[in-house]
Amino acid sequence: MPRSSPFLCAMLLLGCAVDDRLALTVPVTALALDDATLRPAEGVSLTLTTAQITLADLRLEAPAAMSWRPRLLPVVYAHPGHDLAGGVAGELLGEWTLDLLGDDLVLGEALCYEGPLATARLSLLPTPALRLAGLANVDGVERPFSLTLSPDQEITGLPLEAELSAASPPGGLRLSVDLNHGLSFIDWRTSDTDADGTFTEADGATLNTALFGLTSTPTWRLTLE
Amino acid sequence: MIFSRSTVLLAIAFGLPACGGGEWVVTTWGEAYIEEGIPAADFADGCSVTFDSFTVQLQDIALLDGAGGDAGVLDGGFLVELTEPGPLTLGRVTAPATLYDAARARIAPLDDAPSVAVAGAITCGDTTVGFDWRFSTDTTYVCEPEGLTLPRGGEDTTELTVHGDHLFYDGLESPDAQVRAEAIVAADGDLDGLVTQTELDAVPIAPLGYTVGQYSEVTTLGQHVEHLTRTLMHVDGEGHCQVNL
Amino acid sequence: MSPLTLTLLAAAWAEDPPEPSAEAVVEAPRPAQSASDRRFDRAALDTLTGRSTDELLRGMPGLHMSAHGGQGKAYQYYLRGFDTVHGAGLAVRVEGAPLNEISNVHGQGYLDLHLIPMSLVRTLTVSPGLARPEEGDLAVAGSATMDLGLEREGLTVTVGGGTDRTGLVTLGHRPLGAAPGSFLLAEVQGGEGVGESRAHRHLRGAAGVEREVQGRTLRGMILAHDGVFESPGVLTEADLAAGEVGFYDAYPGSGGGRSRRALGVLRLSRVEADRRRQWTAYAAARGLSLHQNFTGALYDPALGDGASQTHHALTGGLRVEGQRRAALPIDAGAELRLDGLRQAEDHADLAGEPLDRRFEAEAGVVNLGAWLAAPLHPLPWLLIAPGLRADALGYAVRAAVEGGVRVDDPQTALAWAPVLSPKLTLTASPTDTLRLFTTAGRGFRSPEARGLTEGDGDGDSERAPVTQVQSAELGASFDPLPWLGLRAASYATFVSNELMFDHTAGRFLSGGPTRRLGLDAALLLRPTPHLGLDLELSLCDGKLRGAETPLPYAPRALVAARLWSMRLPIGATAQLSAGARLWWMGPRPLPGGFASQPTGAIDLTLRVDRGDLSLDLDLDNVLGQEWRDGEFMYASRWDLNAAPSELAARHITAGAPRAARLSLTWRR
Repeated sequence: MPRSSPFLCAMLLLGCAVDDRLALTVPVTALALDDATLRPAEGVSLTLTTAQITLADLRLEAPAAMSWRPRLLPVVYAHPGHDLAGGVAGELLGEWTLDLLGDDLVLGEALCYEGPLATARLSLLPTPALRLAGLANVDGVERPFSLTLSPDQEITGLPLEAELSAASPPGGLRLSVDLNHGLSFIDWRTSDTDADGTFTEADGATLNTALFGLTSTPTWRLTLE
Repeated sequence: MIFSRSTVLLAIAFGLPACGGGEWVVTTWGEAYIEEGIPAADFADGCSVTFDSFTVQLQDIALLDGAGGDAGVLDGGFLVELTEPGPLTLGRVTAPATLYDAARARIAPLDDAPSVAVAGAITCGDTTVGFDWRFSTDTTYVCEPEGLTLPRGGEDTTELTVHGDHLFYDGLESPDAQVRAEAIVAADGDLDGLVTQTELDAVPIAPLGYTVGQYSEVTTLGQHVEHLTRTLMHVDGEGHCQVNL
Repeated sequence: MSPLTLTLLAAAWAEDPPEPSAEAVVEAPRPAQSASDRRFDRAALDTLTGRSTDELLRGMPGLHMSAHGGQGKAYQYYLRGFDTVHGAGLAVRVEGAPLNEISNVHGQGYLDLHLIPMSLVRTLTVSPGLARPEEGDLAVAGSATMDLGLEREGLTVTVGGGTDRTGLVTLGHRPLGAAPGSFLLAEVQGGEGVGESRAHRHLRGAAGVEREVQGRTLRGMILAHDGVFESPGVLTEADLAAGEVGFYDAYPGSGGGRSRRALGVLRLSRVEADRRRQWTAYAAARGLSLHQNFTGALYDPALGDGASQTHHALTGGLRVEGQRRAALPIDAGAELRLDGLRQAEDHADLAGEPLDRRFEAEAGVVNLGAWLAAPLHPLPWLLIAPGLRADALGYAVRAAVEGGVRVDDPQTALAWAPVLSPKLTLTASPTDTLRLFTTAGRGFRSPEARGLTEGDGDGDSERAPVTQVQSAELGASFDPLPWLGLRAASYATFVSNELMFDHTAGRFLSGGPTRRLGLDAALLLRPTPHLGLDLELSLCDGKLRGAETPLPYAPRALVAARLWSMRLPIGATAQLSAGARLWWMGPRPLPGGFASQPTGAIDLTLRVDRGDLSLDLDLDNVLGQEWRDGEFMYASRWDLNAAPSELAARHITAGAPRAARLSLTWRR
């Protein structure tokens, strides 16, 4: 986006005093787990053999404001489903399947505009979105577990406070998943309700607790380099 | 002579519209849901609710101009019992005559009184439990009234509508949130027929299938209901209000 | 006679001494009250570049026009820091009848001049800034008046075509010995245009009669128009850069419409030695259908985001005005305007076919206005004209469908508003070459009926929200030499509450206080009576005062240079009228902290008259630049295979491509 000619600006002072928000691209990488062993609760140890997440559409949001009359405070609508974040200031659209036990995955380059960021959101697609399996050791007793979840919802309000500038663009944006937190709401001592030999989301309230934790905002972390 | 008369008349004409304003009348109403109760047909799990008392502590009520400043402020606080037949008039204030699209109101504790206090009974199937809850949440709403134009020398009214069913939503951010109460009834741990806030706080929310969206600090049913007290207000019936965090 | 001389003559009329003059003045132009006022007679109009009557308004200093709808829809007008959208801030009259359409479904004050054949415009007076007391609703950024008639007697046949794949046939007749206001005219104009979705066809008919009846001048006129047109809409900058689309392409389903309009005006004028009176009656019928799609398939990924709008209206009015220059000079008048309208908006698919109804309403609008001004001469070189205008607006609106929901028992919402608009003009002519202008006043812009459906419908009236604009201007015109004129006008415009109508939400928004500070300056060179160079500069700084952010879309810098020749003799029998206009507009602020690119173009017009023949050549965009007529920032989705994006993208509307049009006129 070209700026105005300095020569013309010298002649037309008022006319050229208009700032423009430049665009920049930020590479986005989803990080794999450092360790396949998790400890989501006291006395519980999980060894993952499968950890796949299908993500889509990462959006970076500016601080909330009321349309063309900016207000200074972030706002949400007082009604479920109408929580209002700021305008989208950056975006990377696509679908990616992340193998958390494999290598880091480069998702692509997010197209962003200069200016402040406050939050971010991303989608989990119902393909299924989450597939976790392995061996759970609960109080010294091992049993296999397998969680297949299709939340079909967005992860919203991921904290991402930053000021983007095209003159000094960030090196990259990293997305990491804290499965210790995500799986901490599950009662791993729930019995094998359907007696299929595997602890799954069908046992007890595990579907609800697994979804709750894995869609919880602190389970996901974005950091700018 | 003509010149001086013209000048005087013109000065008056230029000045006229700058003088005087209109009156902004503020009312509040809990609608039928609070006055008569929420019927089973409006609950996803077939429960029903009646309120013996539903009080809100309203204060800092102001009409906002286009720059976000206070155009007219209703002084004082108002402790309102919404089970009384409404709408209830809170007061009136003079503001410049023009169109307004924003108004502010705050529901917050005042003089040791809770911001929101609700008491009543919930019936789910054959089980009825009572509740008597008090909250100290402090919430400022910026609401969007439509068609609010104060005429010079006239008045226009804004209704701060309180939606009692919001206390029973099963999601804090989902547009598909349902109105439910079974989990609240089941929270009566000591089976004394009264669900206390302590009992609600003992119920983890994760197993319930409730969603909290970005409000990950909400982990119990008690925190969930308390958060919902920050979503009670609408304007002129179904008009939107935004909440300043 | 040069425009400069005409301006001086016009100003001289305003300087009539208090004693009655024995010389009658017929059809006298209204006196200039600003250094930015301009008046163009037919000869001067022949030097203005433009493809249509709408584009003649470019003669107004500081005005930028955007034709993002192609050739058929009303232009978007920007003037003195105002984005008037489609005319809600620029009031235009033809033969005394208002052309702006009140509460048009597409936008308040919809200003569509496609009704008027270019060859029929005899005089055009443009006045940037707050208008005189005789102008009421919508004249907050500027106003203009047009008088019509056929310049030459006899039969006139014009045939033309151009490289822009357009053609024109005009038949005109003015009886021998008849006044210019007696005529018949028929016109067919249209073509494919250059690029995609630019086809248009316009049929125009006009008839007029002008008679002297017992010392009064009677003018009656009927204009009719039927236009069908496509609209190229917007393109994204990303698609242009990637080569996905060409600059003059259009996305599927970009839109178009049909515009039908008829206007009848009857005007009776009586001019006497010391007074002038005029009665004007007008009636208009309007049918408009538009379909458009600016976001592709973002909000409705399956069916598309198209919208289809229809508007039918009947307008009628009566206007009485008079000027007296006796011992107590008075200008006074009154006007009653009535509009009855029926409008609807539908969600439409990508082909423009209506799907479901979003909005449907009927409304009646009345505007009763009266004004009084007293032009006084306390000193021979000083004119002080205090004035006052009062208007009463009334609305009755009934919405059958709102927000996509059919109303079970539609109620009629009533709204009304009184408006008082004082004005003051001071004109000082301390020398023959210097004139100083000071004007101050208040104007107003009425709300569209569509936003007033929130009335409780029980017969009680709500107050209609009127936008009131206060403005003051200081200006000077200095003509130190016969061939040199300098014009400068600085202005400050304040709106205590800038109201906007949000078409999506169907409600008015309060923008808060705004202020606009600006300067119009011009250097007018007239080396000979037939040649001239006009250099114009318009600067404006508009801000939302609360947030101190710039007002979006309004141009901040506009530079125009116009080299012209007016009926320059060529040899013994021919005359040349020509104009070359170069214009440049600086970056404009866009919502969200963005800015548009600077843009500009060069256009030429040339006319050679020789005897009974005339040859016209018009060159649009001489340098063939891909100039941006409009620029917007918002999210859209044009690739149906791509995920819906929520990131604002730069969208542009293409300016006119390079084209040459040639027409031959034969007169008998």
